[in-house]
Amino acid sequence: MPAAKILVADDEPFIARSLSYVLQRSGFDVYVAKDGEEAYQLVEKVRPNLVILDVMMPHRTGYEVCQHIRSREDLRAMKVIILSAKGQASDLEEGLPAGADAYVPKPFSPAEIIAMVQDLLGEAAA
Amino acid sequence: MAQTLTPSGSAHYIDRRAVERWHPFLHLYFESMEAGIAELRSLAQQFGETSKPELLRMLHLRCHGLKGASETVGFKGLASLLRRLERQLEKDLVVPGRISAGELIKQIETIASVYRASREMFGKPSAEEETNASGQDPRSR
Repeated sequence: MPAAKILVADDEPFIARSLSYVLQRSGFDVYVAKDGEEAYQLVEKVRPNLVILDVMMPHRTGYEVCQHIRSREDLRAMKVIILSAKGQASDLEEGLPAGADAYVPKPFSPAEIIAMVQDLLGEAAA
Repeated sequence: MAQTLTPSGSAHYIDRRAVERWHPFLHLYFESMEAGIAELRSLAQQFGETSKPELLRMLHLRCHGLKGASETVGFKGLASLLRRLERQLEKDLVVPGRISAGELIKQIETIASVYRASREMFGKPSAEEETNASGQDPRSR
């Protein structure tokens, strides 16, 4: 079975690079977007199994990318995790109605992310 | 008048458990912080007497990203300083002129100073530590 594809979209290089590393090490095929617009394009081009979206990014927010994914019938199987640095209840209230499958407030640990990804992808996990 | 931040005991507060979890990746965090502080300085130098909305948005977004990264790796005091600056920039986006270029530069230098102190405390992990922690050297990817 080919490795599941994961798109990490975060404008903070440390978060994008470290998440990319731990996910690759866990056997996933990882793509990185540095802003919301690039995430938008890679969602179409790569068709990842799961997308990890930061909320505040240049050009488009993570919520906008999530809403785009959920508005499209052909992308609906895509799992979405929203990351937020705010860690506020308002983020959770906005993130889940946007159609996210899970919401992870920063700070998080690498192990938490891997466990959540594996849980969401189930049998499709790498 | 914007509040000036000064280094204090709480500014250096570190969550050692979080730092340990992320230790193999600290060099990536340090690289990101150094680039981020340089970008904040550059943006602040363009900040004139009148607040420019696009400049403020860029400063705010960068500050927000660095705060999230600092919070994640356990540098809580640094994250707190960045959060306070982020909130001041948010207020300035609503009512321009609340923060001056001088105050902004002063706050960025305080953040840079606390960052340097945090980095000196932890330094860069050795290649051997990184390999042991993750099974593979992240710098080789």
